[in-house]
Amino acid sequence: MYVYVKKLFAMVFTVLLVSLIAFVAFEVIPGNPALSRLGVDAEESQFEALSAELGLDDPLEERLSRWIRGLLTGDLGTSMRYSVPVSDLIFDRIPVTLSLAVMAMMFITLIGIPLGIVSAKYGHRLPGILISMISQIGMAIPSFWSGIILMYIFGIVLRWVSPGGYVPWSEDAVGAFKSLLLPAIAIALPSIASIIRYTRNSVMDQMKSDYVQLALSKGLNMNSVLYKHVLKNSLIPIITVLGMIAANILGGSIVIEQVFTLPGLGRLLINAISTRDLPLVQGMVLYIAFIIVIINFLIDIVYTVIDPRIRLGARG
Amino acid sequence: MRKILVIITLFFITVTSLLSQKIVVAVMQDPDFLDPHRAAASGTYEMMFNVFEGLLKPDSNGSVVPAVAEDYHISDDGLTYTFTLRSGVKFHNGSEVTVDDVLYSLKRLKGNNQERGLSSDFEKFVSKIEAVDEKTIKVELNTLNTDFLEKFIIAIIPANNDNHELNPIGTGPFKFVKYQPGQRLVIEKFDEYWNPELPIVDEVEFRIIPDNQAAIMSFMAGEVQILPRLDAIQAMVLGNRFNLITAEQNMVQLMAMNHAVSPFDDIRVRRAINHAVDKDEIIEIVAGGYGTKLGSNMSPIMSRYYLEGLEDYYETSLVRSRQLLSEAGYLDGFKTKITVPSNYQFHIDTAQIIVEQLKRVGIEAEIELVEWSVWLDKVYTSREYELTIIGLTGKLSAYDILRRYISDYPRNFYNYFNSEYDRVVKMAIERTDIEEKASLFKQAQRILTEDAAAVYIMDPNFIVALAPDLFGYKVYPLYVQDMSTLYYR
Repeated sequence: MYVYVKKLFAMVFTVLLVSLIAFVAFEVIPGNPALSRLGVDAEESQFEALSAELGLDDPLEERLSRWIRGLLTGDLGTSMRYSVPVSDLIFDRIPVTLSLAVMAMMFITLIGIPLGIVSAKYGHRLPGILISMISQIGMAIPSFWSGIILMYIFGIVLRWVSPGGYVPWSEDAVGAFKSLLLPAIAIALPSIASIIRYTRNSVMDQMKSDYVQLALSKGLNMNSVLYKHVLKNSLIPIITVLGMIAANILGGSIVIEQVFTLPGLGRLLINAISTRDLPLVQGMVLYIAFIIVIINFLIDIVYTVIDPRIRLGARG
Repeated sequence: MRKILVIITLFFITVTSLLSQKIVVAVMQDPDFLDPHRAAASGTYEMMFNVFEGLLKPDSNGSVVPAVAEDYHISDDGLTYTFTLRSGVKFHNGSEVTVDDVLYSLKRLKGNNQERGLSSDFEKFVSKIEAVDEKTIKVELNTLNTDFLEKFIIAIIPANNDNHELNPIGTGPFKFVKYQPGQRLVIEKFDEYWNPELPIVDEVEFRIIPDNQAAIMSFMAGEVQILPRLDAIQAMVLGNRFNLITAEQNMVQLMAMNHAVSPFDDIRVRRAINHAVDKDEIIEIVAGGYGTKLGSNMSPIMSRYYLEGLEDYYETSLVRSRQLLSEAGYLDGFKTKITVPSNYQFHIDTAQIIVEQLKRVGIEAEIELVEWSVWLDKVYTSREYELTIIGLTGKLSAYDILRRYISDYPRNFYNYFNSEYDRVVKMAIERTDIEEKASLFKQAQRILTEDAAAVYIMDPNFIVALAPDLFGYKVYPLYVQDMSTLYYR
C-alpha cells in the first residue's frame, strides 16, 4: 500500500513541476495569445478588450494561483484561443489519438514480436538475415516520411483511403478505420523494427542460458523449448520496451496527425503552443503526464502476471 | 411488396445524396470570433462573409453594393448617411429584419456611455444613429470621413439573439451549422435568402488544414474541392489536371525597414536598399511571374486611387546603390537581419533572394525565422526588428490601407513619422470630391515612395485550385471566399 501512496505523491509532484515549467516557459518566450488570435487586422481597442477578457494583464502570481485553484476544483480552465472549456477540447480529441495508439500497438506486438522470434530462431540463416536487414531500414525511416509516402501511394495513386478525410467512429466505423489505418502503420513501422531487434536479442540471450542447454540435451525439441520456456523469460525486457514505445507513440502521433490532418491531441497541442494558449497547453501537459503514469502502472501489473516472483513493492 | 419498398427507398437515398451538393474548402486557420462585431482576423471574414451581411456588401469589383439596405443616400456635406431597408430580408432564425435590429447592430458597434463600442471607427466617427421610419435609418458623422461608406459592410444581426458567439445568426446566403475548433466550420444553404437565385450548393465545409502539404494531398485525393491561396510552386505541383484560377489580389508584399533603428533611419540607406533589390527577379523566381510589381503601398486593383509609375521610381542599379551607401558612410556595407515569419514560405523565398541581392552592394543580411505569434509580438507590436518581409491584405478603403503609416497609428510598425504624410491622408478623407480625394491618396503614395518608407515588392497573384467539375468561382480584391455563386456541372 505504501508503494502506491509513494507513487501517487511522486506523480502529483511531477505533474505540478511540469505545469510550473510550462507556465514559466510561456512567460519567457515571446508571443501573446490575444495577438495570435486576432492577427494583423485587429484594432487596438479589440486587442485591449480581448487581453482584459483573457486576464493577460494580471500579474503572474495571480494567474498561476487562479489556475491552481481551478485545478483543485477539477476545472482546467478555458482555452484562450477557442473560448471553450479545455476539458471539452481534450475529451473531443481523445478518441482519435487513442484509436491511433491502440492500432499502432496492435501492429507492433502482433507483427514485431513474432518476426523477432522467427529472426532469432533462424539466427544466421537467410530468413533471420533478411528480417534484420529490413528492420534496420525500418528503424532508419522517420514516420512522417513513411506517412507521406503511404499517403501518396494509397491515397492519391490507388485512392483506397482519403487523406484528410477523418470521420469519427460513431458516424462511420469503416471510414474511421480507413482514415486511421495508414497513420497507425506509419507510427508503428519504426517501432515494429525496433521491437523485432529487442525480441531477437532477448530470445537469443535466453537460448544461451543453462536451462535451455539442459532442456535440449534432455532431448526436448527446439520448438517446445522456444515456446514453452524461452519466450516467457524473454518477455520481461520486451514488455519494458513496449512501455517505452507506448509513451513514444504519443510523441509520434503529434507529427503524424499533422501529416494526415487528423483531429487528435497532437494537432491540438501544436495549435495550443503556436497560439500561446497556455490553459490548453497546461491541460494537455496534465493529461499526457497522467497517461504516462498509467502506462507505467499497467506495465508493472503485466510484469507480475508474467513472472509471479516480481511483486509491485519490490521494484522502485 | 417489401422488395419494391426497399428499392424505392434505396433509389430515394441515391437521388437525394446526388442532389445534396457539398463543397469542402481548405482554410489555414480557425476563426477568432464568430460574433461578427468582435471578429478581427481576415481568416474569419473569409468564411463568415457567407453568413453575414451589412447594410451594404462588397462585390467582386471592390465596390460596395446594397444588401440589407436596398438603397442609400449621402448628404451633400458628406456627414449624413440615409439607408432604406430592403423589404423581406430574413434572418436565419426566420424573423424579418426590422429597423430595430439595424439600430441594435449599429449601436452595438458605436457603444454608449456605459459600454465601449465594438468598433473604434464607429465609436470615433459616428455621432448619432436614429430610425426615421420603419424602413429608414439615418447615421450622422461628427467629422467628415469620405471613406466611411465601406464601414457599413459590417454585419446586421438580430437584436433578440442572446449569444452571437455560440449561435451566430445573420442574413447571408448561408446559415451557420457548426464549428469544431481546429477541425471545421460548416454552413448550409439558407432557403429564404433575399436573392432567390442564390446560393446554389447545399452545404459548405471550411476544413481547417494548417499544413500546406496536407492540404494539397487532400485536394489531390478529392477530399477538398477548393484550395485557395496557392503559390506558384504549389500550383506547378498540381499541374494542369485541375482547374486553376489566377487573378490579381489586393495585397502588398513589402520589406519593412525599421526607421527607428540605425542605419535605416538614414533615407540614403533606405534608398540604396531600394536600388539594390531587383523586384522583377523576385517576381520571376518566387512567384513564377505571377505577381504585379509595386512601387508604393497600393495595389493596382484599387484602380481609382492607385498611382501608376512608382514601381520603377528606384531602378535596379548597383552603382547608384553603392553611391548612396558611401554617401551615408557605409562604403563597405553593413550587417543586418531579416526577420521572417516561418509559416509563410513565400516570404522566406523572397528573403533568400533579397539576401543575395543585398550581398551585391556589400550588405550582409541574415535571415531569422520566427514563429507567427513571435512575429506578431516582437515585430508587429513591439517593433523590435531591423528588416522584415510581410504581405498586408487589402481593404476596400484606401484610407484603411494608407493609415498604417500615420504617425500615431498604433500598429505603425515601420516607425514611419512624417507630418506631411499624416496631413495629406487626413485631408483625403475630408474631401467629398472624388477627384480631389483620389489625387491626395496618390500624393500620399508618392510620399511613401520618395521617403523609401519600405521596399514595395509585389502584389502576388491569387491562385485558387478548383475541382474540375466546380464552376462559378468569383475572385474578390478582399480576403473572402464567396460560396454563393458556385455550382457543379
